[in-house]
Amino acid sequence: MTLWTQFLGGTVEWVDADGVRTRMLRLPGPGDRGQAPPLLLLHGRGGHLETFVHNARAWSAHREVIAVDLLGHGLTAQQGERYDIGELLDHVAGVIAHLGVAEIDVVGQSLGGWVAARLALRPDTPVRRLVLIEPAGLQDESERLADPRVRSAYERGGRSFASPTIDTVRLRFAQLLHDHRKIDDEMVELRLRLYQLPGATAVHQAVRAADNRPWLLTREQLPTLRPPCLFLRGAHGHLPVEVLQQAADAVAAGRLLTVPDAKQWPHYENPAVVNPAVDQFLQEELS
Amino acid sequence: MTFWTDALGAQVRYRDAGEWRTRSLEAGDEGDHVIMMGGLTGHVEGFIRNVVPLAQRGLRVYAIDCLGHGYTAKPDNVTYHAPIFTEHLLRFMDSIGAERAHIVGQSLGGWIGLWTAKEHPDRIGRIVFATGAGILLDDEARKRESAEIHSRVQNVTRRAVEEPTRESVRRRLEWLMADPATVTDELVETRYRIYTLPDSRAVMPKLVAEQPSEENRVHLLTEADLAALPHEVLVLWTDKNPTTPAEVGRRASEILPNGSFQLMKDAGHWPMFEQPEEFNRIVGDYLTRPSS
Repeated sequence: MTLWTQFLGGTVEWVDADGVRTRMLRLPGPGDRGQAPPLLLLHGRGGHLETFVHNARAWSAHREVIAVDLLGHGLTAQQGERYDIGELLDHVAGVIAHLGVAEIDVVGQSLGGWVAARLALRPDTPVRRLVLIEPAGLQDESERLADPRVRSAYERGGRSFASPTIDTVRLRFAQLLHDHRKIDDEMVELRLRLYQLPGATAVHQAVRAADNRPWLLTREQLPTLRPPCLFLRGAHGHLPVEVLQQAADAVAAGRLLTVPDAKQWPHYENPAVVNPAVDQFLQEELS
Repeated sequence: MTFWTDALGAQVRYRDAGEWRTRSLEAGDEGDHVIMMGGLTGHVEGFIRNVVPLAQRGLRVYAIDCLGHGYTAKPDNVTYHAPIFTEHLLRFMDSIGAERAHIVGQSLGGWIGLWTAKEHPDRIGRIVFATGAGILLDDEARKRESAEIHSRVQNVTRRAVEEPTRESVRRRLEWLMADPATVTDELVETRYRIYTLPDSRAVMPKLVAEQPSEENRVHLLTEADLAALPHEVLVLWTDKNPTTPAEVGRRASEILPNGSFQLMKDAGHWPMFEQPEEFNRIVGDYLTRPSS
């Protein structure tokens, strides 16, 4: 299985999201049998739409699946200034406006999870159900970096952005995974190509430097998150289980699933658990 | 390199060519329109190593699945002879707003290019006729050879289409190549998935019966047709083509008033896939050179 065969039958297009040229992947759903709203996938820091290579096809069995490169990421235009959550959020809102749908489900991982949650907190949001995979935004950056494991991963990640080579990209990829044997060469090559694009280093550094404190998902705000929310964590992830459990308890309708044999990328490392769990969650309450 | 990284920067789209939904792998925002079409039962992935590099030469490149092929519509109420493929090509050109386009046609795609140029000369610019089908020389021995090739293509293709397995698909692909190692698992998987689509299973037997049939031979381009074709045509051949020998291509290039000929080494029926760098250089140079 390669990226091409996983996404075969779908489309890859440039779309105009409120003035930003955006790379969009769409995998058609089951056609007339589909009553479910489309599902939008949002990747994490340093990511790109291909990070959902092990999931998009499976999830398209019951709904159309759409994945985009976030503002400045992958092959989407580098039109941001601060690359804080606010800018990333405005871009995703533009993507949804382009789609012109009344309702949408969203899966967001890490940084993408933060954006997804913020989107769902907006008044008049079209977000129906939310899946947050190892989401960022639940802890302040200083609190997060106080964990020496997180600090060291953060520093190694910085090298892959500042001087992308096969080795630095592979190392950052490895630290996302519990089992390093699951690194695949195609993804390493792809990420290297994307990280070497002109301007990519500056975008990644801006994303890391952005002051996102105003956008933190606070204890006061979480209870106002109305869409049902599935939190996913890797059993070996860095995000403390208490933080996620508190968030799942705080939102209006939340639950937490711990994915075995996985770290920061449970959707990639253990799709056998993640794919059916997400599919079932999204199918609830649909006749 | 994989298909995905080869095609990074290109779009995969569906466009309505008249009533026929058509898959297009495309790149390039400016320059002349170029349409790439492959052989019988082929698909855009045959050009996956060419679309982005040719777009970087300042061309607007569209590799398309021909009618009845790949992920394009596969109507069962048409006859898969040269004219219907031309009709589909013209409707696709309409859909992208191209009054005129250069054609890079391999095998059947080359036949479509020449037939369209003959019937609608104003819509076609330059033609790269790569290991092409569809030409018939006057020489009796060559005529017999051409009929035998049609029958052989029909046999090997029918086997891969009737009961597609990854193994039968791999054998058909290896037959195309000078070096069988060119056939990657990814290529086999892609083609297997296409051949096992429900509409492929329903319509490909008809396609494979009709396209190389006796009745379609009236649409072959004869020496007289070639001599009357004003277009610039690059006849691009290989030293290990499993179908028509290079001598036929060379002879056709001499009959064409504005023909030229190039022979590529260490390639079979898919020079664009087997020797992509050389193919892209030759085709890019040919399509971007100033008008004489």
